Amino acid sequence: MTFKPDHHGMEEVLKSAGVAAEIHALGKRVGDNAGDAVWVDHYTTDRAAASVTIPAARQAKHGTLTKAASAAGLEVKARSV
Amino acid sequence: MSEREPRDVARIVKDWLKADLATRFPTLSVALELPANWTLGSGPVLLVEDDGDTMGMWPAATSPTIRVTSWTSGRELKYVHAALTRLLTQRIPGIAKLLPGTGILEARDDKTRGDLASFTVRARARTAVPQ
Repeated sequence: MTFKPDHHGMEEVLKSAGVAAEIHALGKRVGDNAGDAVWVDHYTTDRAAASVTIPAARQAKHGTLTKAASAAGLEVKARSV
Repeated sequence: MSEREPRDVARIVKDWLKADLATRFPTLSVALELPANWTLGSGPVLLVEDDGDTMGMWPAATSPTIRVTSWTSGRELKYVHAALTRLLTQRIPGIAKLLPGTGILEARDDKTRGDLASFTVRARARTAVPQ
């Protein structure tokens, strides 16, 4: 038996409105968990994406972003290139 | 039947770094909490804290994000550079794996004016029967 990935199908799913809505909801959840002075941005590259920005000192001192991500079921790591 | 419980990964990392860095940095304190009387001019402190777990590996293992932050009087990165390198290259008893998290982030504490340098690692630790 062989497995042949359907790249066009995968692309269609990743760019679907349902996945975009889930990405936006995750970004909002992390932002809400992080409290005040948080900027949540929703944008689109070739697919839906979201970013959450907080002051550096809050992350260094309190781990605000990493804690907010953990509470939303996400891990924070450097973006791979 | 004995229940398996999470390990205190932050404490394991703190104890390991404290022993590992002692010779190279004899004035460095490695701790789980910042001393309440730390002020600008105090000695360097390296804090190890647990930023939570997605619980994606429960009950076999835990996967906490561990944050390591140096507090120094003036900009000084050597402590976090050493800690980051050691944690990602050495085997620590009690921890199955440490993976890269965030890179080094610099900031300043408004209250003490101390310089902060912080990074995270993503830990994987099997749950264990308490001794």
